[in-house]
Amino acid sequence: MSRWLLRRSLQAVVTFAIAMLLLFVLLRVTPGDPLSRLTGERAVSERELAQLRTRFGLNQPLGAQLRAFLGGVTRGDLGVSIEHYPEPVTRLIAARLPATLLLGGTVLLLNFTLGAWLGVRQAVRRGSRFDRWLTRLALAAYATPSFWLGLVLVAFVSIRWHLLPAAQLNDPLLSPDAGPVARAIDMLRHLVLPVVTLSLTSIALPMRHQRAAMLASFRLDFVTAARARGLPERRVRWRHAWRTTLVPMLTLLGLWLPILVSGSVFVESVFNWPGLGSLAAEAIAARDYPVLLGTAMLVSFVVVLAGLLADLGYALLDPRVRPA
Amino acid sequence: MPLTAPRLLALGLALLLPSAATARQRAPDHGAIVILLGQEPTTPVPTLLGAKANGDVSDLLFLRLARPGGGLVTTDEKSFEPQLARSWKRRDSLTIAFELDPRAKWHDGTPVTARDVLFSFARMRDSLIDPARALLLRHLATVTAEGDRRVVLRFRRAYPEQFYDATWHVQLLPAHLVDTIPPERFAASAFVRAPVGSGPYRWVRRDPGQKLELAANPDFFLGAPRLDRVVFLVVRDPEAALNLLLDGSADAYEAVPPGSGPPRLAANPALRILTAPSFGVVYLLFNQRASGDRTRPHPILGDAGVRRALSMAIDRATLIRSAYGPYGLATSAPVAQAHWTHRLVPKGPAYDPGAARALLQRLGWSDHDGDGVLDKDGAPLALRLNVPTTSAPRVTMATQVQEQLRRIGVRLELVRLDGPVWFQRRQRGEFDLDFSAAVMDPSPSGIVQSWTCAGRAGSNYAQYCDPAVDASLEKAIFDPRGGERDWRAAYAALQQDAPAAFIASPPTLFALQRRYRDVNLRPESLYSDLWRWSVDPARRLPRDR
Repeated sequence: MSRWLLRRSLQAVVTFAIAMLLLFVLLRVTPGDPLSRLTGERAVSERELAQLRTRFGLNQPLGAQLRAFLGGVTRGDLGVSIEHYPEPVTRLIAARLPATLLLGGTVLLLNFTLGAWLGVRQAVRRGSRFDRWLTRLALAAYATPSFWLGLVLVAFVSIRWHLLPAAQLNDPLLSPDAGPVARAIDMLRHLVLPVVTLSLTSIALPMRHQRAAMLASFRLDFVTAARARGLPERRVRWRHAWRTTLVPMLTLLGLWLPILVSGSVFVESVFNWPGLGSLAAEAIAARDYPVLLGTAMLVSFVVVLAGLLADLGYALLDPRVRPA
Repeated sequence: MPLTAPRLLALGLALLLPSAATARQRAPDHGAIVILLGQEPTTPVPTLLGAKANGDVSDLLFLRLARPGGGLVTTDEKSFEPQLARSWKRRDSLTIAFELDPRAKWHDGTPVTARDVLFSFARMRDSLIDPARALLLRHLATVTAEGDRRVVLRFRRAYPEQFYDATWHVQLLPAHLVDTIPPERFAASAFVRAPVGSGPYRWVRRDPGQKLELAANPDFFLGAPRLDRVVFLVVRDPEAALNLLLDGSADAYEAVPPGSGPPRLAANPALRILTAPSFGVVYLLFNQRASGDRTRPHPILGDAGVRRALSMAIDRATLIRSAYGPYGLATSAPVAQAHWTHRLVPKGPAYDPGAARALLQRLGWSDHDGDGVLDKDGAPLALRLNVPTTSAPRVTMATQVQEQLRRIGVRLELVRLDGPVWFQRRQRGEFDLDFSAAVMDPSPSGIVQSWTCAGRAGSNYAQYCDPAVDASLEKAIFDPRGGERDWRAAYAALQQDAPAAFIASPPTLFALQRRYRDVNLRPESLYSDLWRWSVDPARRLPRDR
């Protein structure tokens, strides 16, 4: 098991390194001048541009830039942002990470608790009106673009009914003296619409997975045996049938974990949510190479790590796939 | 604690109630403001300004010796308003002495002195620190101090905009805090993270990519501001910005999209839209050199006759109506609506596709092969127009330009590019036509940067050069007796040469909550009078208190 874990970890490290190298090269060969956003549409002289290029090391050959980047990574230094100069990339990411974790974590939690619970309920009441309508509604929501749903919710809930704020992570005029309760309530008010938007458009997936896995589980011999032994239905359902569905659900969770750090560009844009998704989108638009590499690095790391954790999870949950 | 139904209800109600955390008593016309910016002010400090948003915020933190009066006549020194200089006296045609206001203080309480002026001018005139500004200050010979409160500026030559150059280009920096910071480390210094100025507002904090907050400077020597808190929120998506205005979370937005913005905002009676003339000009730039090869003249656009014909074939009124609604203003020279010389621009070439086609015919361009595209010596009149997708008005207008030129037999291919690629190609001269927009200097003399032979080393991306135009601009700008007639002649010479098809000078569309009074938007610096704004006591909101 430990050899398997070591081999799998090494694979993960190599995958991560290849992803980073590809990202670095692709970003640098993509056309576009990162200084365009700094200067806006102001008339800029060649001399001024040359000074800016020197400041950000953009006048160096690609090899030298790669060496500088790798050297920085080994020291935990991802460089400084071009657009937010002189802000270090690590500080920018650290500033945006909590908002993304909050949004992604809440959506993930909601989808894999409420979604899973609804999926079990649907499987139990298979073919009922509840099952049919929930399927239709969930699939309709799944087919709806999240940015459109977000705009509709804002139009009604925020602008027409003035129930919740239209955007932002918190009230920009919230007093610095505000207590933790006031801050928490303010943040929750701002969190509701982005979470509802993202959850509504994505909950169908865990729900349908859970339903299918549960139905398959109900057909297994040991579940039939448990029922034959006269165990209460609730116990059969949750202690026997549901536990076998954890492996496929874990696979799905592994695939979804990166949402924790990648954010959702469209939803973050609609709600002006200061997360990593919008940071990455801004960095793409500005060709802010250091920020883009930093965010991509974080996402790649979580993707690779989630794959590793999912594999480890299988091994722990299912003895059949456990390596010798 | 179990979540019972009443507790859930209470939590729900708490979430729906607006936050009361900002409640605090203030004078009846005092308040706060949340301003939405589409662009982030990353370094709002003199010598590092660059983008417009930096300048807007910097004008609240740092002052100049004086600023132009309301008419923005940059040649009329009598119209200038005092800022850090209480008064000034012209000693001769080359020398101006400024008396500093003894009440002026930096935000840390240190008085503003002649040492600060000398230090700031030295920094701004250093071409290694701020090459663009150093170029603008090239006619300044010396800056000397006479005691703590008087500075004397001496110029190399007499010209009408001496006073403007002496005051506009330099915002004062506190020498006692900055002179120990090497220029090359300035941008990364602690001072830039928390600047100390002498203006009506002082720095509170900046959350990169999110917001920047300022607080009123109660000791501001020209009068305490009545808006106590100013928060600039960065909102890159215009729809999100409109939503924040409509739900009341924000108070002002300076980049209302001219198409969708006004009708949406009209639905909320608490909002109004103000327009302010801008220094922006939108134009189709004609490359004088071959695309991507600056050693050869452009095979088609190198001919001034072709450029004039293309300019005549463009229906500016239709373009402006479609992109800016009722707000756009046509222009036929590189002169913005807010420039005092705007009224001197001769009426440009009228929209006349028939005359345009006839002119092309005279130049040898005919449709010999009957394919609908003019050709000459076997080469079709086919051009490519680079358009930045980041500008919705220009994307809208580009398709119409394509159709308008098609009618006279020109095949125009639209090349839609995202901002950085568009910028890169413009820098390298990789275009036939470029859909450009420039925010110009408040002085009409800023024209030399992009439309003279000397500008070819700088921002004259099309490599336009006509010594006759240079000579007429030189006369208008530098002749001490130069006047309106010279400016008219210079603009007429430019129009004759048609280095670009000048289209519009769109105003700034500014959405604002109606509760603000005494509002004055200045074209050269939208927020420089913000400290004079107040809140109507009858319309105050909880967050103003």
